[in-house]
Amino acid sequence: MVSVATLSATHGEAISGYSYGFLDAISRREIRRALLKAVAIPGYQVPFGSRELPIARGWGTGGLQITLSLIGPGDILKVIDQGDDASVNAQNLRRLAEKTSGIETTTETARATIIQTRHRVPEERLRSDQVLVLQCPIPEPLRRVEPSTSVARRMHAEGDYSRMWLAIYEDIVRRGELGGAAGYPVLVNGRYIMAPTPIPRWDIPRLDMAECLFLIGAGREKRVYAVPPYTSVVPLEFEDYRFEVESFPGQRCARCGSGDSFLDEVNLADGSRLFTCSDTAFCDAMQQNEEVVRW
Amino acid sequence: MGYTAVRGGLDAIQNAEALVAAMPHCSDNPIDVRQVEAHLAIAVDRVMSEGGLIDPGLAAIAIKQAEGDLIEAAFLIRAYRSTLPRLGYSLPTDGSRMVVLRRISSIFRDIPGGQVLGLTRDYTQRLLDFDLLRSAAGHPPGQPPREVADPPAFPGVIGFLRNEGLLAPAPPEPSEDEPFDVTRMPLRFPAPRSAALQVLARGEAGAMLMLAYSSMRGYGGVGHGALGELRYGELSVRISHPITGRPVAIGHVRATEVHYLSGGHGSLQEGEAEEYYLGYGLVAGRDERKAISMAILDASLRYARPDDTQPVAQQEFVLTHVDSIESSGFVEHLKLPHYVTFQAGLQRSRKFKEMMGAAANG
Amino acid sequence: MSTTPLITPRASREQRAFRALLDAMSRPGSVHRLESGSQPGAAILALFEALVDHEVSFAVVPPAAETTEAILRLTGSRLAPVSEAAYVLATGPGIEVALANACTGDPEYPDRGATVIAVVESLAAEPGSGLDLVLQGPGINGRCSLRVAGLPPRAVPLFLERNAEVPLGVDLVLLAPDGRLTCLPRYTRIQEAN
Repeated sequence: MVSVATLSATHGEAISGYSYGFLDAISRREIRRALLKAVAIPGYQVPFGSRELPIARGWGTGGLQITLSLIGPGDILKVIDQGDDASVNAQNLRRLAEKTSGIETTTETARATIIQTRHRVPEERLRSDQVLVLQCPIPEPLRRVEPSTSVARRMHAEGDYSRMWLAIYEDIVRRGELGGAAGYPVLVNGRYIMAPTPIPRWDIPRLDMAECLFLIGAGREKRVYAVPPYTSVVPLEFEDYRFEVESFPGQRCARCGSGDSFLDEVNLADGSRLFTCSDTAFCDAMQQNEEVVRW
Repeated sequence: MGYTAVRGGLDAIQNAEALVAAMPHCSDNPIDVRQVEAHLAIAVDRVMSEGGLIDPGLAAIAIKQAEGDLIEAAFLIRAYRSTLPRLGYSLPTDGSRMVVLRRISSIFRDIPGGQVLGLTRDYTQRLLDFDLLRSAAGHPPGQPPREVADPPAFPGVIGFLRNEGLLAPAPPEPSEDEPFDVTRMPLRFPAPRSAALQVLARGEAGAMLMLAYSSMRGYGGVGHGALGELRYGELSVRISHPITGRPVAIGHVRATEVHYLSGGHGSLQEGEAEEYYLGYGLVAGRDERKAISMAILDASLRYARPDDTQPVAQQEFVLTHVDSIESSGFVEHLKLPHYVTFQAGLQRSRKFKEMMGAAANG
Repeated sequence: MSTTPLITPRASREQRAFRALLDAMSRPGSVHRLESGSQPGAAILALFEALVDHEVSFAVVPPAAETTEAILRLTGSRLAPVSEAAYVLATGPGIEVALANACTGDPEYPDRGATVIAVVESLAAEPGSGLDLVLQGPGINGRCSLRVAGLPPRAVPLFLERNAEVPLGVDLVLLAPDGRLTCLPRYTRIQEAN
């Protein structure tokens, strides 16, 4: 039985109001320990004691707990949702981080040391001094074929992914090609099938042998996982049916003219349709003719 | 061109916040949190129970702030709870030490201590009382309560079944094992019983009611049993004094406790002599519906037949889906932008449609 | 919250130590620096302060009463046998004992494999005197060199042996008294350069 004295000794800072970065010291250490194991075992989902935050479950508490465990006074934080810094949800998460730590924030990808993102990888190549924290709704890539987490855990333990391969094959039978949904399953370090979070196929190749560290947080499902730099990340494919990214034939961004970024579709009132860059910071930089390092 | 990207996300949130903040004040007669606490006590109990934090004053604030959305209020309480320092753990207690305010048993007509109906609506007639339109302060009608000089003892009813060997004896003393704490560690399946009970105690009342009801109607589990005993009253909270190590009472909480009996488990082939299994429900505050549901679920998870594939018998299914903060968060997260993921799918759908059209014509 | 919370000195130390560990674990063989006092054992305490509390266990091999006391007082953690502890502090020949006996986790939970913190004499990224290692694996672009002084002779073979069945395995942190550290997570392949 833990004594009151022990708990009080390690809880000093929480008693006098909110801690720096909202989380108390014990929660932070728990997440930090889990993150270190996640990095040591690329693609493996580490269970952790996910805490409740003032933001709803399913709205980014996993990514937020990672960010809040990472940040210190020297960091600069960028938060995006669907590639957009101005999105209501991104603003809300950024605000919570700011309010609880006073951390400097930015919309410029190159200036950030930590980028928290929902469902996109920035168009600008990330460096070795940057960490990309991805918000994840469903960390279990096998959920598609197996709803039970305990059964899925056994499948991962045994490396028995036959049912997953079968499901991918069935997509080909039904549709004539590999499935196209966001969050396409990948094999990490030749060992674990991983859910890359619902990023478009466009972003999947960026995870492979990157210079930056990727940390993925699922708050509601209580898992964190990681892809270290220079780690192999390969989408599941067959020799005769290869993985392909989305294409936007003949389309360019209506704001910056880029023909080489993931585009959002905008349907206008007059029935016409145009496209703009999903990554708004990239789009801004292109419009201002700034130098942008690509993946 | 003429297309302007949508901006102003921060303004939108701030305006929404201003609206929300105005709601509790936007009438000539705003409700006082003390009124919430006094007159919406069942709602307060529910918010404390699902929030996992026993403080009626805080729960009342949450209910007012959330405009009566009890799941939202429980969320406020949970988030607040996360910020509180954990000072220690109370000593185990047991229901037989409860100061009883209400206590009934359905399995025997009369029991030592008697059937104490207490405060219950069960036998009232559900007629809307239009007298409530007239707000009247002052004392309630009828006789004032009087003190009972020597309250009777209320030995647990299941004791009789245990004495006869029809129900397994209680474990000899409180378990040495630390209870699993779901607020600290993620659940792993199979989960220990302490984890399951904690999840159920904080579980969403409606979700648990639905599952218990389905079991009673034959969809798996052991929902065809009986109510051994239901108690509502005060439980003393005791901790180990940090210096002397002796138990000291620091307060009390009100709780509802249920013993549910699932019967007919005896088996000639398996040499199983004990007929009855016990399902346990313990809920903060006054919530008999949830305590009964909890006991049915506890029994179903432990004693359903091995070949029972219904959801109510699957520990992972039940424990994963009864948490209101998690379920509401995820269901409502669909309101977040998903246009990138949708775009990824849209491309494919269009391509597929084209392909089908070509196939039809070709 | 009317004012932004300030970071306490302890929280700041822990955050910087954690970031050093995270960088080191993400880039095995890269050498990072813990800020710690100059007293003997300060680097060890800086690491334990950041990682360990009453929710996990640790072991010290060979047993050292003063260090153990200091860690217990600082973290509120608890001692466990080497084969069960989550964090194993090892010095000298204890490094071999730790690597040979630390827990490697189980197939469904390889993260339960221990972290061994081996105190060495010195660490550098450039080859030189001492043991010259060549590393490959996740986090490393091609190959990486590491010079370590103070690793007992069986340490590398034991590391490779206990990690032969990854994802089960043990993760190694090398810590020098001056606060330099590097990490060798279980997937790292190590060769001794001749």
